[in-house]
Amino acid sequence: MTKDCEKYKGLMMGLMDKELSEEEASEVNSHLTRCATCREEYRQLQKAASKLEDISYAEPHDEVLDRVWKSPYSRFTRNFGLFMVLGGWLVLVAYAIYGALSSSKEALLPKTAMAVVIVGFVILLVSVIWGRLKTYKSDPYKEVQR
Amino acid sequence: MNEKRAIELCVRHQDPLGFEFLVKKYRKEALYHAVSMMGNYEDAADACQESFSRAFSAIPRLKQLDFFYPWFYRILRNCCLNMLSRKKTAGGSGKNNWEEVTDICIRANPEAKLEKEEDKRKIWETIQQLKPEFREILMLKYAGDKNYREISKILGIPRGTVMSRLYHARMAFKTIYLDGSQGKNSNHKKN
Repeated sequence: MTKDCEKYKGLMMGLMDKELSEEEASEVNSHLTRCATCREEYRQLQKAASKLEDISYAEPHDEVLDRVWKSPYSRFTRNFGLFMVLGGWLVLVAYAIYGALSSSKEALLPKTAMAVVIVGFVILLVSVIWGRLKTYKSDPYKEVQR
Repeated sequence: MNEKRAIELCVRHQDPLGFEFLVKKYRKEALYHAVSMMGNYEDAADACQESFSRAFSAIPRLKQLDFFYPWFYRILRNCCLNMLSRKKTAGGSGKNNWEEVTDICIRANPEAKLEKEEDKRKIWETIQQLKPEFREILMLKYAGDKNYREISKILGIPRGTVMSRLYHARMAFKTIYLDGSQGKNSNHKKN
């Protein structure tokens, strides 16, 4: 094998796939007649590659094809519905908490405990949102450009 | 509607109808390409779904786009590679066992000599062991039946690189196919 061989490796593929111009093809062919190592490699690669010739894609099922894309309209209505349900629920919860804290019937200890739980929840929520915003900033697809 | 008009609608107005035209036109091809990378249709459909929705939100930011698919393919490819590396860190790719996938992802042409299940299994297993970029180019070439010009357009690489990558991919395939699982450890060098 000579230093020269390296530059014929790619062209050998072109020859195998019949993608070369006449000029290129005769160049590789003349190298192959001269170089036994490359000739042997070419023969082996051709044999191995012939195994691949019989494969093809099978038709995907319709339900798989349908999963590929959900129209933004349907996503919008779904998100909007979810937002309304969550929003209403949060208002109700906030109202209940406010009622419990402001009524004078409850003792001081459970009230304080409840306040601690709420503050903890808010801290957790903020940290999760903060983390999400941070990953969004470094999202590699956000600015996908041509 | 044709592709040019659909792209124009998407770029100018982020029109879902224009985008839907593009999705219908290319979803099968996208799914094929994703399945070659991911190894099964379930993950492939997830990757396509994610990529199409990213493409939909990114397309109005483009000033101009002549052909949809090569641009989209880059998003899809990144998405597949990310999912693969996430799966790798999560430990194992249990779904890629051949019984589940060969008949869906790969099948022999009717008159082909691949009737032997054992042979089919070995070929598929070998393909699964290749690096994603080798798997990608071999599937484009053989299952997708693409010529060098088309491969070069889809992957965005020059013809010379197509040839040298095919060389390394076929070498890797040959090594693993002949040596069986030992091929996993042989570090066939990349260009």
